[in-house]
Amino acid sequence: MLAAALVVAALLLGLGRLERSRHAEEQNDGIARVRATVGPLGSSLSGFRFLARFQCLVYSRGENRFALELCVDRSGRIVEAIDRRSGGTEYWSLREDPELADVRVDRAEVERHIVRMCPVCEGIFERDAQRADL
Amino acid sequence: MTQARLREQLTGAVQALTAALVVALGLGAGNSYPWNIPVGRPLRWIVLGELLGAALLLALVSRRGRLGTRTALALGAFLGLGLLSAAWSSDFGLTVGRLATVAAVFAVACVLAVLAAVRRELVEVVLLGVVLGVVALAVIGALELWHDPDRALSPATTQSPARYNGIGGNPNTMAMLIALVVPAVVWAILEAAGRVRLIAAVGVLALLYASLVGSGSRGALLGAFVGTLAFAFAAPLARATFVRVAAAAVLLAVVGVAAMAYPQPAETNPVIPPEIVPPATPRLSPLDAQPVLPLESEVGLPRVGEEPFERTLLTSSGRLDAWRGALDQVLDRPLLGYGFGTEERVFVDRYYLHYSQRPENAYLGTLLQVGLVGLALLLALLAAIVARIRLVRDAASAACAGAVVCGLLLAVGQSYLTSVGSPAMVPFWLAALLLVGATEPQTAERLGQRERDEGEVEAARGHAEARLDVVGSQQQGVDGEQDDDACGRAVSAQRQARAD
Repeated sequence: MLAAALVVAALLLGLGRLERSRHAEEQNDGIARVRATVGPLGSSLSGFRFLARFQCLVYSRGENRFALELCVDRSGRIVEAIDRRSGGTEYWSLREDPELADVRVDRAEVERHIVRMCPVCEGIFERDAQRADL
Repeated sequence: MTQARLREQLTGAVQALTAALVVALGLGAGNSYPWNIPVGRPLRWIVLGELLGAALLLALVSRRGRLGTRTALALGAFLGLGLLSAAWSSDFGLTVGRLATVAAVFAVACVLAVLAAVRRELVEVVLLGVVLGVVALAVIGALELWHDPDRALSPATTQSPARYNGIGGNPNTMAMLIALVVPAVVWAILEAAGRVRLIAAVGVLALLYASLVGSGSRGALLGAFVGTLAFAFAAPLARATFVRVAAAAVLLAVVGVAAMAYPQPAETNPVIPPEIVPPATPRLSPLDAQPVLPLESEVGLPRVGEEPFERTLLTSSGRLDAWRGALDQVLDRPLLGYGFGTEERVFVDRYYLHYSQRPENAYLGTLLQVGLVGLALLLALLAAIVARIRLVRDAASAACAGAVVCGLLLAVGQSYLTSVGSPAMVPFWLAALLLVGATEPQTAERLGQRERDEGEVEAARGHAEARLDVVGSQQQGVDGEQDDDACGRAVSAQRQARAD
């Protein structure tokens, strides 16, 4: 009985970890596709989003001002990518597991672009950096 | 001190601590500063620890029964899976922490259940403790309404009429808790000895029902109604009493629906004082996308010129959108989920009409946390509990049955079954496992009866086989004689033939 329980536990453990890594792979693939579609981070920028856990860069395509979006955490990991080109909204997200997000961008460049669109954001980034140092 | 006296004192402590735990959980989930986060949240863990200690001490000095095998296995397997899920959790610390609190609640409920298996009155003691706690919260809520109506009421908006919070964090928080104890209050009314107690019990029901209806919580109203009916069906009531309880439940539900349908949304949105709801972050620059297309409200965001949403008795308040979104997330990790206790960390609210960090469905929440395997184990546990309802033989256990049925219904519209911080969680599991404990003697009796029946069947079968053997041997004797006759006739025939 105990041996059977241990075998089942080991199986579940393997399966749970496999599901986690497979999900992260799928989300990272989607994020990488959106990242490739965006091209250079600074081109066709149409807006930004400043949230507590991450900040986003918004890109336009044609008439659509919110066509593509990349959300980047403090370490430069893209934790969410959104594609609104088709009229609907497609998400790829690793918000819940940011350490598994393996598509990265230069965080300093992201902050530069945001500050260009939002001068007051510079103060917020500086304050965040000071807090992180503490 | 005699053991009997010690038992009485510990029983009293269990009752008082149950009431205190309900109050601490209510304060912790409430909106009344500093009673909520600074006081209620640490206090609830202290009281939970004390209740566990008192229950264990009581178990040490009392006779103990058993918890049904099926219930114990399902409970153990569910908690075991929760512990294992730390290995694939999105947040290891959160999973282990949440599991520890849930395990503590299950431990309290299991200890009380094995005690209730041999001491039925403990069910009444604990239920009364829960009711006392809920009544205390309802009274505090009413005082809050008098003292600070801006906090005690969610003001009417263009989408929704005004709703009564009491001290709840939102209008549903206390309403759920109240719905769970309505069957127990109905039981108290039926059992009230003397006019004073009857008036007190009816007064409690009036206070709780007014708070529930004022909250506008449709799920809680339905839960209270169905829970009361379940109580009436499960309790050993005389036919006339059953009819009276059922009729009262229907009447109260109809009055509740009418009262909830009456208030109307406001024509303009209210200006909420900044100390109650801090103002939204101002637009950081003209290119700030958040005010135009908020990430947390993108799905269902009304377009320009679209009719604004209006909450009515039959609209879903955005839950259907949230459930669809949660199901999409479940399908990404379907078998084992994202880790026990991670529901609000994993669920992403992108829905305009949904204001919650959870999908507000305990079954979907369980799927998110521990996948299909975990949901199957939880449903097995709930099925083992529900199966006990038909074994109920007393009104207090029937009140537990009513709370269980009500709680299962509430779980469709609220995520609370595995979150100790939600005030309804502890009363639900206490009622559920007390139901199992209180009906354990009946299962033992049924098991004994089944064994006796099987023994009798076995004996009858043995007897029948023995008879068949006797009949068989007699038959063989007859056959032998017949064979002998045949043989004899054949030999005679041969002899005759030789002679011829």
